[in-house]
Amino acid sequence: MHPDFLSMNKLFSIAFCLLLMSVSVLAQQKYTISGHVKDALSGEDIIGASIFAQEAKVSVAANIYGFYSLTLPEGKHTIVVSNLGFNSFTQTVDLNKNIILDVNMQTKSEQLKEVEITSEKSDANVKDIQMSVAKLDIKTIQKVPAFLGEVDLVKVIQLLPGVTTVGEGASGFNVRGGSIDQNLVLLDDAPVYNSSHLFGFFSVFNPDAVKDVKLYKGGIPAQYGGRLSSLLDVRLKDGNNKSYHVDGGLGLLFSRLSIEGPLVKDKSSFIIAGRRSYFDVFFPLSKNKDIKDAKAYFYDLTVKLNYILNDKNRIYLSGYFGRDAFGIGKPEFGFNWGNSTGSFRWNHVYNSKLFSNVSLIYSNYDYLIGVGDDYDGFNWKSKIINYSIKPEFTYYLNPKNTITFGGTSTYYNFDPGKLIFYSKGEKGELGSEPKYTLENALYAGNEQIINGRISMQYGVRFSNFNYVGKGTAYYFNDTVPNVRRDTIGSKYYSNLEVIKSYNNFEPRFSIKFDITDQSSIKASYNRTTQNLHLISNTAASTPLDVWVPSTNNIKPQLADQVALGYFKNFREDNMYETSVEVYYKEMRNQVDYIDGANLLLNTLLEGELMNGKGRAYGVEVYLKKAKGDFTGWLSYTLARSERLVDGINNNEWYANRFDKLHNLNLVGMYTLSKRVEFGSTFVFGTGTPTTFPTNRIEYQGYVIPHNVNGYRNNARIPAYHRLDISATFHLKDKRSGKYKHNIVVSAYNVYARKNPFSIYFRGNADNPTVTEAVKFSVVGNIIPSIAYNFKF
Amino acid sequence: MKKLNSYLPILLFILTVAFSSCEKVIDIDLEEGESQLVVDAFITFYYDSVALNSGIENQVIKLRKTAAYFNNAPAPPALGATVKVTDILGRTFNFNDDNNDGDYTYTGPFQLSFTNPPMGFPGNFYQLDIKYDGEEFTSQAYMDSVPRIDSLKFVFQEQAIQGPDTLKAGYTIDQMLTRGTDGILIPTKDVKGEGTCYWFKSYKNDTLYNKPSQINLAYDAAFGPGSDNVAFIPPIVFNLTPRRLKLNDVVRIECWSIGLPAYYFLTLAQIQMTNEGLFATPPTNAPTNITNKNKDSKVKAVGWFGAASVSRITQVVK
Repeated sequence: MHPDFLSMNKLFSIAFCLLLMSVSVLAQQKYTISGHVKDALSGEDIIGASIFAQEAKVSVAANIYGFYSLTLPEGKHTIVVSNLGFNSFTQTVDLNKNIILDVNMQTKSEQLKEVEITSEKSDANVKDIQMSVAKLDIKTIQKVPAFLGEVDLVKVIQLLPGVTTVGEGASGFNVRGGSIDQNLVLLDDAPVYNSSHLFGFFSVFNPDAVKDVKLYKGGIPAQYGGRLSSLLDVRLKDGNNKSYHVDGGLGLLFSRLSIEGPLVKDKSSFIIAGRRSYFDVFFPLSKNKDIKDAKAYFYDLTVKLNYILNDKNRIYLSGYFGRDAFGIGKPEFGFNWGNSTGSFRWNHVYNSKLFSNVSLIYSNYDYLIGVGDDYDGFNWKSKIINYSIKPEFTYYLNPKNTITFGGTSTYYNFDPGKLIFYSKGEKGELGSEPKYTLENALYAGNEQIINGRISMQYGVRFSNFNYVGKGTAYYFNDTVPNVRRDTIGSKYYSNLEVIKSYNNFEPRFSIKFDITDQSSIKASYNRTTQNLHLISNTAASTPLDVWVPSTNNIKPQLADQVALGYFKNFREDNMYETSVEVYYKEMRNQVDYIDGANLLLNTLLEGELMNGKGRAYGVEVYLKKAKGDFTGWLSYTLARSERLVDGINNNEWYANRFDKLHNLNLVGMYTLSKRVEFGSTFVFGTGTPTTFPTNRIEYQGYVIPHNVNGYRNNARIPAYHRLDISATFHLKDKRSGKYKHNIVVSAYNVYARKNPFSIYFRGNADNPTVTEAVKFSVVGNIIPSIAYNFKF
Repeated sequence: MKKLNSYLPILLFILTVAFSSCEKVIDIDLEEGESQLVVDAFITFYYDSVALNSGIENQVIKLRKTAAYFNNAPAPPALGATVKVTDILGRTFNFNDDNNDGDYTYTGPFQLSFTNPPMGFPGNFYQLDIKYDGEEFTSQAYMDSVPRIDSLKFVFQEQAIQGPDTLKAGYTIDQMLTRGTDGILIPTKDVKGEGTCYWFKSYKNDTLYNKPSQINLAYDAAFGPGSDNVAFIPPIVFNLTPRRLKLNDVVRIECWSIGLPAYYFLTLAQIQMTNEGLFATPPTNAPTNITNKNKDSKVKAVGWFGAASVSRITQVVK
């Protein structure tokens, strides 16, 4: 589909008409009921709780801060608030003025044996306007068998339809045929630039501190932008504001501890959660001197504070600090990388209909590699920092229209890499100078109920991106594709002087049509743009990869996605949820690299880049059993992700490195008794593409592989499949108090398959002219583990 | 800068231990492509540490054919070609395959006068012309300057690990040294002028460290612009000694000044030969500077025609 099929003018007129329609409903005398929905036990806001006015038959969902607003005609109303896992709350109100109704919901009693794997109302998948969205609550994530027994959010996301990974050891995840840098990962609104610890084996999110996770693969609302393919929205717990609690766990690889509690009861609370790996604890036992002195660890610390100033104002402060560090050898070779993020948010309720949140956001990702000292050695640093301000408003116009609008301004500082080296005391410097950019966005959107059956969400986002000084902009010649471009000039720009600007409109549209009470059809279109690019041409993204902005040479990436889905639930209690979605995504200005590109510390990096087109399409099937002793899901994705770049693969489309035709995930969880639970996952995926040589070139005694046809990704590695199992034993609590503890025994890769990460070609170690093919597996065996978790 | 990526395997070592990652040689069927002419040549000029040599060494241009990737027999020679090189002084040198083994050789006469210098000298420019199998191929190369290496300084190192391989205690080269005009030895520096590129070859007891991973390349004194005319940076000096040395080992270091285009060619060729593990890049063909004179011909040749001035030092570990 051509991306410009809806002209902007047309789009605006449609939006305007819709708005008029919605305003014209205002006739009868109406009042607004608003407030916050909270967990009575912990004081945590409940995201997405349903507030239903029985007589008027209208409902609204609480926002991510637990706030809701519902405008109703004057008179008596029965308000029913419900959320899975909680007893519903009912109250009759006589509405003759605007009122505030804060709801404290009681957790369902423990006797309830069945496990529910969603915290939403049970038919949300059918009734919500949003499609291509997966919502996971931490309870579900905790039940899925985990690598080395460590609960991991990103690993669970990879079991959802449309989400894949290149393999173990690969950072990040791929959504609907997009690369890993096309996911906007937000931790309490702050972007996280590298979501991995230990080369992707673990993610940076501490499950003890996470409240809610939502992944948007399409139909992304207008308030989010900046990446092409997905939004992973991770929300941290606020912390219990009634009493103190401790959560922790001891695993084979690392331990966790979190503490939460009130600072001022019912008004203010905190949570602080930390993890640290300890495999390096055993290093001193080694006889090898170097291992004895080696460093290898990672840690992270997640903190959050919040304070309810009064009915109308509440503030939140969230932070994350994490780092991976390695050091070995003499002179020591050291390597460390990490993220730090911080966000300050202020919720303000202007009136019962207008809710606002203003966020101040900081995020930083940096790494450092070094060896030796300042006589003989080098130090290499790279970083990306951003500072943002993001005001957002929600206007609950009437039960049929919820309008959102706002904007963002972000200042970025990119340091793509600087090497300082010392050679016999002589100091030198290599690498590129920092780059600065200023990004602004404005958005407006509306969620509108047309009638009992049809609802829509539509909006537009305007993005303005400026590559600014101070710094030198380089200009390159045009040359044959896939050949390094040379500079034809450069110009110095002073502080904040604009070098290049890009403006883009991003229309977003979703529609839902209810066929029956338990089935619906949804469709969506969205355009997204991306002005930050992760420069990496390795099979698995490495912590060394650098982020660069759009510049006078690198154009913003653009994507248009259309998706269509059918959603149906079975049984009266919505025990089975199913969906089928098809999507087609077209991407422009995809960054690619000339053969042999020199991507690191290169001032003239832009001369090594090319741009191409991408396309991705597929079908996603999802079947979930949400209730009962046995729960779980099946997800199957049939998909393609391809690229077209001048000068590569003889100018023909070729499969992306992360292209996998078939992806099957089976997740099952079984509650045997109050004390024992089992979990199991099975994963199958088509092998990823690779390039095999056809011939050998003997040159200076070396054998160079050569593909005479010049094709890329002309072959595939064998398929990937794996079975994991786990058992959780809830131990008896003799202290008969709040103390709860369990032991989780698990096994990863149960049948010890040596799943290939890659197949590569090399000369034999003893005689390099004798060639061989090698299968490389990151995990080559069954990995059993045991972990102990406690809570009080 | 891909050199720094070579440190990443050290980290993978930890993963290897932790998660039992493994490599296994497997059988695989590969399609075989059409065979092509391979040009394998550097016109050379050697400076020896003992005396300013020579220019009297034979120049060899090897012509071979590509073979199936798993065909481990020596590359089939390309026989019956006409090979000549012309230089900036307008001289023509004919290369003959007297042994009928595909090694086309120039065996003299070697000139040594100032007005008629040897074939190989820095600043010379060469054009190669090959007639083979009804096709005509051509290529050009420029010979760059090379710093003199007058001495090597050895240092004793304790046992250490660099990745999975334990390095035993022994000697390594700590510095390459050049005698200044005042007679004092100073660390060897990159030749002045941006983009001088080097290929360091290390020999122990006359055996070349010949693994693809041991190809030791430098762009100026480091791996890219910004390191002109300073002493070679540590990774390059470290890599001169892939294995620890014992007392009385005979070490030979050759510094080939190969020029920027050959540097890119060898960098890419090395990547293709060592493209393993998590951080492999998409396999691609190494470039070539051999072109068919007939642009419309579908017949292509591969390989590289280069020129290098070479500093050579042989020293016993003491």
